[in-house]
Amino acid sequence: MITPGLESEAALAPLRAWWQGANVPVLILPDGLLPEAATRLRAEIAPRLSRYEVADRGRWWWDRHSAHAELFERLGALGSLLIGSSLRLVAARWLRFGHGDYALLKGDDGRTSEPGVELTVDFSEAATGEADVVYLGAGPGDLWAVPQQPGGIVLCDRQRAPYRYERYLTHRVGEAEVHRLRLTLLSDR
Amino acid sequence: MRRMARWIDFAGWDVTALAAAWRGARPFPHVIVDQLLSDGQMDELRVGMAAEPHWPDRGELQDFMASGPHLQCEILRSLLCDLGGAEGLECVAALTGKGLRSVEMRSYVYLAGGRLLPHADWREGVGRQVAFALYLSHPGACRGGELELFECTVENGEIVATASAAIIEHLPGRLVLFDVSPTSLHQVREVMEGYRLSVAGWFT
Repeated sequence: MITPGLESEAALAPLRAWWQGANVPVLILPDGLLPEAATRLRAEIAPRLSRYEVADRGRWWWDRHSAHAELFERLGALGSLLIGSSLRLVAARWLRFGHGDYALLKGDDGRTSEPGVELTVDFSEAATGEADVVYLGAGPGDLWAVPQQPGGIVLCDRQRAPYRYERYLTHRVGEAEVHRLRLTLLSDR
Repeated sequence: MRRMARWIDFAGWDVTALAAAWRGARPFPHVIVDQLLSDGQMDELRVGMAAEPHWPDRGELQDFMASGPHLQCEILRSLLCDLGGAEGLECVAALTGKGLRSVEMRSYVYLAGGRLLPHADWREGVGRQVAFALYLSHPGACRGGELELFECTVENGEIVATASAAIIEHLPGRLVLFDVSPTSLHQVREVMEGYRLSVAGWFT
């Protein structure tokens, strides 16, 4: 499911060094999920999604209950190796956004006061050119906009970026949908 | 040359009827005043908008072009003077039952894809009492961009559920006044095609 070689120490060591020294709380791994795995996930998760709509929080389709043991374990291990600390899974969200959908700051349930990371996997079929995930820090200039990239895996330190919103999808996306798996992983320390 | 003519004939407003409409409106107090301006006045205000600098404003809720908080164009400033003059404040205060002291206003251009997602204008200590929007798009120039009002279910001071309760078209010359409270949730729906012109702000 994960792109071959990505989980190797040779690939992860420089990323870990960057993560530990960087001022930026977001790390993007492009093409981390294989396209055929993304296709399978979309088909598997589609019948389990339900609608969420509270206007001042957001609108999306989601599933908070389905587990995928192999993928969760490998993503957890990947996250642990990247940040150099053992992580445990505390929450998983399968999300789907289409035209008119969005998630506002009030709809962000990923804030945590404990050390760890939020890991988001994009298993969409195509890039929409919209659908950025925007992380905000406590300072006025602390803004990190992560473009939507199919197959991309994004790590975010939510202690350093405690606020998140996901941009509204306009009519320009047509019938396209954005699929995300979001894991909250906290440090075992 | 300073424009002396008045934009709005407040003396012609049926304040009693408008106050009843305000109180009876759902999901929260609001009132619609149609044909507030003549075609000629709207044309003049559009000229004013074209002269006013607008900047892109894109964030969590919004994607539009907006003027600065201090209007530079005399035409738009004169409209602001009308709204915030003694007669304007008295009239809006009478129909809303709120004590009002001043008005702030900006000018907005929404292009295709533009929107202002659901929010309430209320801010602790800011003093916003009544929101307003005056629509200036040319007839047929825009698809989408309606003002949508939401009914809120509140538990323990938190909005826990919402439902669309009113959709107001942005007809040229239409003025909408609506209540500002923590639960006066509203949005400008996405502009699907064309452009949407308005001036909007708050009575404080």
